[in-house]
Amino acid sequence: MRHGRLTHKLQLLHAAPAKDHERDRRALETELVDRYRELHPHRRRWLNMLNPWNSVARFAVGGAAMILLLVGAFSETTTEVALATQLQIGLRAAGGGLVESGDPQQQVDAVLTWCADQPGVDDAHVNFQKGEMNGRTTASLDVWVWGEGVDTDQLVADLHTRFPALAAAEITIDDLNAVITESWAERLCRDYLHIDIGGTTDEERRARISEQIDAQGMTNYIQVDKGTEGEWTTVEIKGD
Amino acid sequence: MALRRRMRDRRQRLWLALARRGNEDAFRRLYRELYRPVASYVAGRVPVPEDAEDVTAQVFARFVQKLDAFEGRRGTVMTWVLTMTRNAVIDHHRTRKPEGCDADELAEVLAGDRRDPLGALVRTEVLERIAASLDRRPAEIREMFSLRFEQDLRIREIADLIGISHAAAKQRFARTLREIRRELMHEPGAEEGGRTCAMAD
Repeated sequence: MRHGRLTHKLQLLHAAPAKDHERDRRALETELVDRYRELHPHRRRWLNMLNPWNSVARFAVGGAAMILLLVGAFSETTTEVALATQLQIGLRAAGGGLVESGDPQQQVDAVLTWCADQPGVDDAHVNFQKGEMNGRTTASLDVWVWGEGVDTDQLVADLHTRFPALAAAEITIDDLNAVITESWAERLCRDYLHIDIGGTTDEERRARISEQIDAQGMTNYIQVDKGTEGEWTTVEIKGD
Repeated sequence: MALRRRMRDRRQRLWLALARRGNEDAFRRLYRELYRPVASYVAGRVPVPEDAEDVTAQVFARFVQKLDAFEGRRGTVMTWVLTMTRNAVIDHHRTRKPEGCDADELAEVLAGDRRDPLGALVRTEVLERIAASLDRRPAEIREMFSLRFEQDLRIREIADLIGISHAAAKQRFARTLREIRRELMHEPGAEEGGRTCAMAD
C-alpha cells in the first residue's frame, strides 16, 4: 500500500463522528465572552476596528481612506520652491572692460553662452544695462541662471577668472524663490514621486517659471527685448 | 497540507494577538476555530458526554484566563490549547479516581477512543486490519497517531505536546507506518506495490 493511501485510511480511521458541536459551542461562547470582557475591559470597542476580518471595520476604514484621498486631491496648499539664482554683477563705471569695449553685446553673449553650459544650469539670462547718470557712464550686468544644484560660488569664481572684464566686478548672489499653489496630491507627487508638475519639456518648464516670476512682480527682469528706454540702453538676451 | 497548517497557525496567532489587546471579534473567531478540535479531543477521551462538556468548558475558561501567557516561540496556538486540553483530561481522570490513576491506564485514556469512522459505510476490510494493527501498538503510539490524523497536528507539534524530541517522534511514526504496511502486505488479501516512506512534517 502506498504512503498516500495508507495516510488516507488512517485519516478515515481517526475521523471524528459527525457530532453537531454548534449548540454546545454557542452556549459556551456567551459565557466565555462575558468572562473575556471582564478580563479585557479596555480598548475593546475601538480596537475591534483594527481587525481585518471585521467587515464593518474594513468598510469604515476603506471609506475613510477614500474620503481623505478625495479631500486631499482637491484641497490646495502653497509651497515655496527655489527656482533660480540671480547673480548681480556691479561694474565700475570707468574701469569696466565691458563698458569701454566697442561691442559689449559680443561679450555679453560670451558670458551667456558660458553660463548656460555650466553643470546644473538649465537656462541662463543676461541683462546688460548701460547709461549716463549725472555725466558719468554707469553699467550693470545681471545674470540669472535657472536650474537645481548650481554651484554658485564656483560660478562666481569662474566668472572672475574667465572674463577679464569682470575680474574686478562685485558679484552678489540672490536666490529667486517662487510660491507654487498646488493640491496636496500634486505636492505628494512632486515630493515623493519626483514628478515635475511644471511640465515635461524645457519649454513647459520655462513657461511655468516665467509664470511664477510674473506672480512675484518681477516681470521686467525677464522681458526679452532690446532698445533704449529713457536714458538707459537695455540689452536683454534670452539664452537658448 | 503544510501550507494549510502554516496559514492556520498564522491566522490563529494574529487572532490571539488581537484578542490580547482587547479585540473581541478576534477572540470570538479564535474560539470558534479552536472549539471543534478541543471538543473532539475531549470527546474521544472522556466517555460521558456531560463530563466531556465540562472538561471542554474548563479548557476554554483556562484559555481566557491565560490569554496573555502564550509564548509564540514555544509553539503554535493549536499546540498550546491542546496541551491545556490534554492536561484537563488527565486532571479529570485523576480526580474521578481518588485512589489514583496509574500511568498505563492514563496512557490508554490519552491514546483516545477511535470512534466510528464515517459510520459503517466506509468500514472496509483494509480499514479493519489497519485498526487492528494500530490497536496492538503501545498507547503512546496510538495517541500520536490520533493527534496526527484526528487533530491534524504536525509531528513537531505532537512531540511538543507529549514531551518527546522531534527526532524521536518522527522515527516512531516512520517505524510504525512501516510495520503496519508490512503487516498488511503479509496478511491474506494484502495489496502489492508498497514502498518505504518517511513521514513528512
